[in-house]
Amino acid sequence: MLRILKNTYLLCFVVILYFPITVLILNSFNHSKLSIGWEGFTLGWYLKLFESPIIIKSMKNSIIIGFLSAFFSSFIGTIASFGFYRYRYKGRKIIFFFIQTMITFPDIVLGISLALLFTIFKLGFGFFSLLISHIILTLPFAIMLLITGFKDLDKNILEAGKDLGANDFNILIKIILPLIYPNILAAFLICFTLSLDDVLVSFFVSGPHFEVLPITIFSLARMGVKPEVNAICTLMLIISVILIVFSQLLLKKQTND
Amino acid sequence: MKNNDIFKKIVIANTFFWIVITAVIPNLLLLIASLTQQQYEQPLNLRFSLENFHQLFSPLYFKVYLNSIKISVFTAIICLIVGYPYAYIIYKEDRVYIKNILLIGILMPFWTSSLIRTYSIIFILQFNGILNKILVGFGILQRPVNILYSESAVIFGMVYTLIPLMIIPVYLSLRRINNDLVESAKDLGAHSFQIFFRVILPLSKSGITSGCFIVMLSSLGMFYLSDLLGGSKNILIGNLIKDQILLGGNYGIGAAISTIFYIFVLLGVLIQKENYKINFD
Repeated sequence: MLRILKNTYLLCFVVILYFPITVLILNSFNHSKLSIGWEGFTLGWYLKLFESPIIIKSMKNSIIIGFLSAFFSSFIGTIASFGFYRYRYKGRKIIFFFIQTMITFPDIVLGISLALLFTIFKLGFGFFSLLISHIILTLPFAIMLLITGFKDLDKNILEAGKDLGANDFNILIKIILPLIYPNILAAFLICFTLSLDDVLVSFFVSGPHFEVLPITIFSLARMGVKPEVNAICTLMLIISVILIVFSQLLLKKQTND
Repeated sequence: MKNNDIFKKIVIANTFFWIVITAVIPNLLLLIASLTQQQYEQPLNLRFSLENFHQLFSPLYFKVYLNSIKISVFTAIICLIVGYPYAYIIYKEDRVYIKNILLIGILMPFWTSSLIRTYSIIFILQFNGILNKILVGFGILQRPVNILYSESAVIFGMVYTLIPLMIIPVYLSLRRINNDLVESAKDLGAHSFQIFFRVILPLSKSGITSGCFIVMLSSLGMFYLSDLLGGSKNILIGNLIKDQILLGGNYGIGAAISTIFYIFVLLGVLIQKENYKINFD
């Protein structure tokens, strides 16, 4: 009896959770312009995307911002978590506490505070503000991910390197990087997806001449369902899922070895 | 060894630089902005004033807060009721591959864009959408009704997008439960209902509080969700902040609300200290 109840619950849960997304994906291949009934398979909406300069431009912007911010976040994050792992210094715990609270903080507060920063220092809204904001948005996640990677490292390796006369820079480059690169790559991929999916921060820091994809999707979606939006949303979903699956495989391989 | 010192300094300075830029400066500016009065086109001046908080408590906005808080409380309660069993089932499952499938099942939505998931709900709830078709088809409704652009649509959307944020902390807290406690309860003759209500549920309290906390905080800011599913009638705190800043260039209200958010976050952190223990050594 309990078993039936449990399985019914799970079935309902998963169906409700995945049904809307499935409908969205199916409709991106649907001939019907109003996305009401099924009127036959088409790839036309995807082809139509390429005729829409606004979507293409913000897609390009999103990929550039995502790539660069993920790169910087994982780079800065690697150095920072090496510092946490290797050194004891004043303020270390406070900084770590800050990083943890930043993850729980509502994104909208980060968005406003950054908008204020860029307004006060008259830095303008566009590529630069978005890049900085997305680094700030993703960095805590990168650091948390990388710290777990460092935690799993065998401390004896570090000691052995030190005994053999390697300095910290060489320890990082020659010993730690080869061991930890799957975590760095996973952090990069996760930061990329976070940046690609972010609405709340981007909304406040993007400018009229430099928009990212979620902002464009949001302004288009306010007019209701549109087939081109279905197509671009499906593309974004696929990209996110691929990146996340890949990052999880990297992390899993790391723990199995 | 001199190079080594320089390298160490660079590493630490890099961390400080980014955390100061990321955590301290913008938030400090926001705090200052909330405690000073904004003049035209100049978001920051250094004259202390509580005008923003005064404005914050004007009856004009009161309805928005009430509405927004009501929606977020409902969302958290529904997320908890619907999500807890899922977390519990993952925790109880012995077969590793099923456990992994269930975990991936909830992590996938967590990692994909909540904007896209919000958008996909429109297909279900709109006037000629699937839910209406099902209800009319089964004869529950005579004719389709407007579900979209209502408060229930907003709550449904919030639960749908935020439920992973409830399930993950609850599952993590369940996983921390020492199995010996469950075993000894069993040995002492407790039946499974007693074990659940008197051992497991109290021990997963930290996960429940952090789940409710994260869900409520996130739901207050999600202006895009209420814009897409709630129409113009259902304004949240997030919409209020957004409109003040984007239409009026007025950071005061947003800053004041954010300050209140800070207080809540700090309270939340203090309440559940064990989740914030430094554990990187």
